[in-house]
Amino acid sequence: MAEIASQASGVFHTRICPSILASLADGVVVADEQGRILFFNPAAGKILGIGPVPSTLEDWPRAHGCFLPDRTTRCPTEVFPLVRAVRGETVSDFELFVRNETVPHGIFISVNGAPLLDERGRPVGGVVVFRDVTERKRLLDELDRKNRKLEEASRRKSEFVASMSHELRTPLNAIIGFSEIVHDGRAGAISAQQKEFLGDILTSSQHLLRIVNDVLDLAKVEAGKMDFHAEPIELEALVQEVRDVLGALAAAKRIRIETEVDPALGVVHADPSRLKQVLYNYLSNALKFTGDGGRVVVRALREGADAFRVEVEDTGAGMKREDLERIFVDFHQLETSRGGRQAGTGLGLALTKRLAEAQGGQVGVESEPGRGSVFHIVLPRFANGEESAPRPGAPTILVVEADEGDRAWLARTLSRAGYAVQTAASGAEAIARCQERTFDAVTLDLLLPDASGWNVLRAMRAGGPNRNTPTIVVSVVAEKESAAGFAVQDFLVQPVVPDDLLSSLRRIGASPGGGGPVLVIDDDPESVSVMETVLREAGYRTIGCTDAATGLLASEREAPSAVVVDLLMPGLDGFGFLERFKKSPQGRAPVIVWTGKDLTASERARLESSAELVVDKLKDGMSVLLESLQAHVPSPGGARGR
Amino acid sequence: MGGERLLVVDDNLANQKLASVLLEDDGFTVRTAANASEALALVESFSPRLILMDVELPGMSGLELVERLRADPETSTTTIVAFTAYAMKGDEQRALAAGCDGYITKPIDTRRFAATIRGYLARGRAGIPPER
Repeated sequence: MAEIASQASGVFHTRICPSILASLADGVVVADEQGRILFFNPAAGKILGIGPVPSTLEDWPRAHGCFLPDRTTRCPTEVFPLVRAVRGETVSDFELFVRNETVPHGIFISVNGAPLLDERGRPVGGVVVFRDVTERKRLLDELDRKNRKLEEASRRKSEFVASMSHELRTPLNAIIGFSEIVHDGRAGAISAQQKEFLGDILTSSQHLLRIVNDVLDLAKVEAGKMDFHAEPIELEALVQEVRDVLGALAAAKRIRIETEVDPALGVVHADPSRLKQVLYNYLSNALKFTGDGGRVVVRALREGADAFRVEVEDTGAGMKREDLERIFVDFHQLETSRGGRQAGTGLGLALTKRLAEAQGGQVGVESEPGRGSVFHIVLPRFANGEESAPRPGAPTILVVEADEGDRAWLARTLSRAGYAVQTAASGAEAIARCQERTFDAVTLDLLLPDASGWNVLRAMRAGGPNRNTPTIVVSVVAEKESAAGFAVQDFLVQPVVPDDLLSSLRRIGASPGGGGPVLVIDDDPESVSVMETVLREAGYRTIGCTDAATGLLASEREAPSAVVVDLLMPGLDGFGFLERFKKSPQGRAPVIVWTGKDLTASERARLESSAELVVDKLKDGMSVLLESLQAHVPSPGGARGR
Repeated sequence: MGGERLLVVDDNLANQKLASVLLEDDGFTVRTAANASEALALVESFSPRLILMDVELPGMSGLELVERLRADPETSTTTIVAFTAYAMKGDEQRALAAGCDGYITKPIDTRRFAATIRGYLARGRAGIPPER
């Protein structure tokens, strides 16, 4: 065995190796430790244009005309690959520019190098291998230039599309607006036929507007300028909303729409308006291609641990395999080949795909001719981005708002501020939500499609888990007067700015940061300061007051999570404070009476009906107070006390 | 409440007319301007309570005009609502940064438009209730 190996090794060295080196396209040069050239293959001479010249190692760069890739700086000896290889270093993909009398225009070479070692592993010289990369470099440069040109063109195209879309929307505003006024009879009585024709104009202009919006959206997604606002979504309600919009179309074709939302899906976080857009595209397509009396199913289910899937199954004509591949491509409209072209933009599916991908999801379709199609979208259950899931124990706000944009804005503002949010778009939905659980606060629009906000409030106050839930009316109508008789805690007129909304919520005691402050009232400033120090050390936020009237004012500015109040104070005393505080909207907060007074039986009875606890300054001391406070209001950052 | 003075600034005459028809029907007194200089003249002579401002005007842009109005003590607290068909990322922030109190996109919803404007009027400039 050893003999064969050694024979083979001998043949390799004497015959095979020189043949390989002679026929290699790469240049190979070997030098000893003094820099004397031991080997120089034909390709090396061809590439460099000059054969081995008698020179010292240091003189090599000059003799062969070697420059750095900037083409002008002579390659310094210390970085020259052969010098480094001889020095014992390894060199990889080092680029040099070579220009001399034989290669006047110059070439780029890429060089690898390694030290030449003796049997004991000591460096005794160096080897470099190099190749001409001029052409490759030129191609890469050209590709890069073309790429940049393409990017620029694509950017210009997106800008053009965006500005075109703006130009188109401007006249549409007047077309839709005036048609609407006349159609509604707001510019005088019109005949039934006129109303019908104006309805046709409206439908067509709204279709045109949808196309323009699709084009704008497509340009926005492409340019990375689309905003996504994820919020907690209840899919059942979202699907229902889209069904409602398309209900007339389904009814006209007697198509039954079925909804199957997997109860195990739970809450998902996604941009509701974008998801609706996708679902609308799928569902309207399904209705379009399903025959009269057919069936369409909308399904929402879980996909793995972190994603969810919404699919729309139709019983339409189905599609051929080659069509399936093209269907999500821009401007591709299959209906052209099917005849019977109907109102579609041809952009819906392309947009759906881009929207899904921009949110880290994907789309797809399975179909068979004659058997219908199933379109699906898969999205992450928790969108990563600015919004995160609310922290456990965060107060939950029910947003009741008819206008989709305002609803999204409110939900976004609240969830950014750390609240958990549920939404309702109609009176019926709001009342249903209110029967399910107790909310920490409700924001209420007055102009609901099916009821006045006051009806919702009346239903809430009539009984059930939200009988006492603080409610803020947020509405475009300023009819504050009619709030009389209803317990409304605040009244905000649209448009509302985030600060107004959030401070209003803090005022009524729904604060995302783990509850309001502990209000400390004692006429002795020293006692207030000691109490505040102790409470702060225990992790509470505090507000100190030295008289009860100021304390009441402070409680109106920001609802306290608890109150610690002394009994004997000049002016309004502890009894008076309790009486007034417990009647105020903030009065749900527990009150701890902290007193040194020896209480009479009647005083004790009076306090027990209104205060949560009476702690004796002398007998019980600070530790009892802290313990009972913690029992009512966990500190800090825990759930807010009630 | 009726007869409150509003100024509609829009270079598209049809849109200008649509907004003013809707607002006049709701009882407002409306004047219109098609460019910045007309708008400035009317701000002086008509002193509107609220200005509905198309943010893309020929010549001086609507937002430049807003900045100029905000710098003038006479109009620093007038409610100004941006009015635009443009809807790219950051437009809303730009309008608010220039000093607008709010933002309405075209096409408008003719059935809610006047109520929305009334809402802005009731709120006043940046949450400060307007003087009556």
